[in-house]
Amino acid sequence: MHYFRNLDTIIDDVHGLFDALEMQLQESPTLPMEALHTAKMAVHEWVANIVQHSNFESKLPEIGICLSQRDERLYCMIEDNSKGFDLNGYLDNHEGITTVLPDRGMGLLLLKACTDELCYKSLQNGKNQLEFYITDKEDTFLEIPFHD
Amino acid sequence: MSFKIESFDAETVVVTIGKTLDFRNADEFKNACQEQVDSGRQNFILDFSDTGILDSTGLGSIFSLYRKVSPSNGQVVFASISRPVQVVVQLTRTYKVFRQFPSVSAAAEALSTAAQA
Repeated sequence: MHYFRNLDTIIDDVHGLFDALEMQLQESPTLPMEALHTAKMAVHEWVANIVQHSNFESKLPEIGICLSQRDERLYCMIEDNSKGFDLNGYLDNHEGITTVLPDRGMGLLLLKACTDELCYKSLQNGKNQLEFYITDKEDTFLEIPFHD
Repeated sequence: MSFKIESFDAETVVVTIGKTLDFRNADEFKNACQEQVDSGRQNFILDFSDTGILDSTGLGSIFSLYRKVSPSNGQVVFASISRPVQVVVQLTRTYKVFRQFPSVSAAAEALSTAAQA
């Protein structure tokens, strides 16, 4: 598990983590590079959501990220100690994008579209945990209205 | 200033996106492009050769630019797309809206040819 505690630098720090993994994958290709790039985008979207919207109250923020390869898939787990976010409710109420070429509101739907077995829950220790798998599926996409 | 903007001709600019276009600098991108639109530029070549992250907010800022220039037949095209950006383009199927070119010069040539036709 990699831990991050500074919300001002966490985005660049997470990118750095993925850059290091990309170098490892170039030396020893054990899964498609596209899967790693997809994971980087998915983790970025979730961490960006935490940075922009989460309430840590008076606690020092702590965000943990775990990445591991499981067979042909990349497993990602992100924990944080914020008050949490109603991701499941959000996704239940936002099945797709209805605005033509929207400025905002695509991040969590993109996260859902590019992952398998997306699961978000509160843990007994008070933290929140997001888990998902990345697979190299060519037919996965997010439907965005491009025209009226 | 995160974005390098170079004039190609009276109507076209090349925007070098750099390492990221995300929620942190999307407004800066919008403002920089708006200045170009205000000064008469209609065609934007976005150079993604060095870009490691294009997130949903960054993509939204490109949509915003497209909405501004497309009514006057302006174009937004992608050039030198890095592999991380290609993942986003495929996932969102934005290749249906933004033409892709292997290099900035190929994009500029295509826009120049279209203008002459």
